[in-house]
Amino acid sequence: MRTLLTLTRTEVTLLLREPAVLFFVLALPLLLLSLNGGSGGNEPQAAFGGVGLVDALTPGLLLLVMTTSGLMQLPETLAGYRERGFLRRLRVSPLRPWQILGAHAATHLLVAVLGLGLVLGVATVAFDLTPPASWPAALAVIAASAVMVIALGFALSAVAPTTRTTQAVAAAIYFPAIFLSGVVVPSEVLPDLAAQVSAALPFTYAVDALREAWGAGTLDAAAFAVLGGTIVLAVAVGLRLFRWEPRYS
Amino acid sequence: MAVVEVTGLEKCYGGVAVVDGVSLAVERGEVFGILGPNGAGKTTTVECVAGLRRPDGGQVRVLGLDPAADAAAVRSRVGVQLQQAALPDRMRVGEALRVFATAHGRPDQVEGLLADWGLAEKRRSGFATLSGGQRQRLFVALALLGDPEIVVLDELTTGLDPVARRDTWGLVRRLRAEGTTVLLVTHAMDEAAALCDRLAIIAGGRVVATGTPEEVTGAHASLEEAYLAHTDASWEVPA
Repeated sequence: MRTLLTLTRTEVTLLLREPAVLFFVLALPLLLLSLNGGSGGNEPQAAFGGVGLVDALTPGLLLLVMTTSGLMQLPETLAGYRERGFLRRLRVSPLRPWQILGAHAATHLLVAVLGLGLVLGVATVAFDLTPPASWPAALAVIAASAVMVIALGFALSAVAPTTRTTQAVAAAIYFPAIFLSGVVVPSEVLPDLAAQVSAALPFTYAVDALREAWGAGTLDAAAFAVLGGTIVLAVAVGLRLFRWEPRYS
Repeated sequence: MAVVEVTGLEKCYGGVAVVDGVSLAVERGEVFGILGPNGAGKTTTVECVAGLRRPDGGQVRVLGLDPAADAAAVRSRVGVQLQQAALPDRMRVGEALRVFATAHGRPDQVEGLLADWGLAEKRRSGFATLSGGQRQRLFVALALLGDPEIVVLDELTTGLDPVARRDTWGLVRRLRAEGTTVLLVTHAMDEAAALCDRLAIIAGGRVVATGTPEEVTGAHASLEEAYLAHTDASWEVPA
C-alpha cells in the first residue's frame, strides 16, 4: 500500500511537470462552461426541459473532464512507458502489476477529482449552478463513470500496439464520445443517425444518468447496468491483453 | 553451488528458434560472461533468467526457483539492468531510486547508492538530461537495491566512452569483491577477458564454447580470435 502511494505520488509529480497536459484536461470544460454560462446564464429554458443552460451543461462537462484524463491521457502515458521500456524496468522490480497500474488509475482519478471540483466550483460560484437533487445519487453516477472511463483507457492501452496508434484510437473514441453522447451538445438536437450512434455509446448513458440524478435525484438502473457491463468488459479485455513489452511486427 | 542453472533452454519468436538448447551454470560469487553476436539469443536467455519471458522448452532455475512461476521471490533477490529500458524523461534520479527502493522495502539505501555511484550531485536531474554513463550508473544502482544475490547486467558498457567504460569495469569488480554473483552480457572481448571468471559464447541460439577465458582462448592467439572461430566469422573480407 505504501508502495502504491509512493508510485502514485511520483506519477502525479511527473504529470505536474507537464502543465500542458493538466491544462488540456481542465481548460476545455472551464472554457465551455464560461462561454455558455457567460452568454446564456442559468435561467430555466423550455429548450432544456425547463432547466437552465448551466444546469443542463454541467453534468456533461464533468464527464468531459473524466474522459479527457482517463481515456486520452492514461493510455497514452502507459503506451509511452511501454515503448521506452519503463514498464519492463518496473516489471523486473518487486513492484506488483496491480501497484503499477493502480498508481495510474489513482493518478487519473485524482486529476478527475480536481477537475470536478474546479468545474463545480466555478459553475456554482459564477453561474449559479443548481445543486443536485440528491448528492449520493449524483456521486454514485460520477464514481461509476470515472471507473468506467479509466477501465476503457486501460483496455485501450492493452489493445493498441504503439503510442501513435493509442493516440489515434483514443481520439477516434474521444470525439464521438464528446459530441454524440450529450457531453457538449444535448442529444435531443442530434440528427437521426448521430442519435442512433449516440444511443450505442456508454458515455451517453453516463451523461443521461448524471442528469437524472442531478435533476430528479433518481438512479437509472439501466444506465448502471450499461456502465457496469462496460467496466467488466473493459477490465476483462485489459487483463487478458495487457502487455509489458512493446509489440513489433 | 550453482545459483543460476539453465538447462536445454528453448525460446521461439514467430516459429523461429532464437534460443535453441542453451545450457549453462553460474556459480555463486563469480562473474559469468555471456558473449555472442547480435541476435545470438543472449538477451533472450537473460530475460528468461530474469523472469521476463517464459521459456518454450528446457528449464531455468535461479537460486533454486523457477523465475517464470516464482517471479516475486526471484525479483527481490535478483537485480537486473536491462538493455532497452528507460525512465520517463522528467523523472529525477533521486525520485527513481526512491520509488524502486520503496518497492524493495529499503528506502534507507537511497543515499548510499547515490553516493556510491557518483549520482549525488545529479539527484535532482531529470533522466533525459543524463549522459549515457550516468544513465548506466543509475540503472546499476537500481539493480543493486535490496542487496541482490545475483546481478544481471545486459550490455552494460555498450555506447560508453573509454573512460566511462573503465570506470564501469571497476564497479563490476567491486560487486564481485562484495560477493555478488554477476551475469554479464557483452559484445566486448576485452571486457570479458578483463572481468569474467568464466564465460559462455552463444551463437545461433546455442552455447558453442564455455569455460574460463583462458580455456576458451585455448590454442587461439586471443579470446577474440577464439570467439571469431567459434561464431563462424562469415564477415571476413575474401582474400
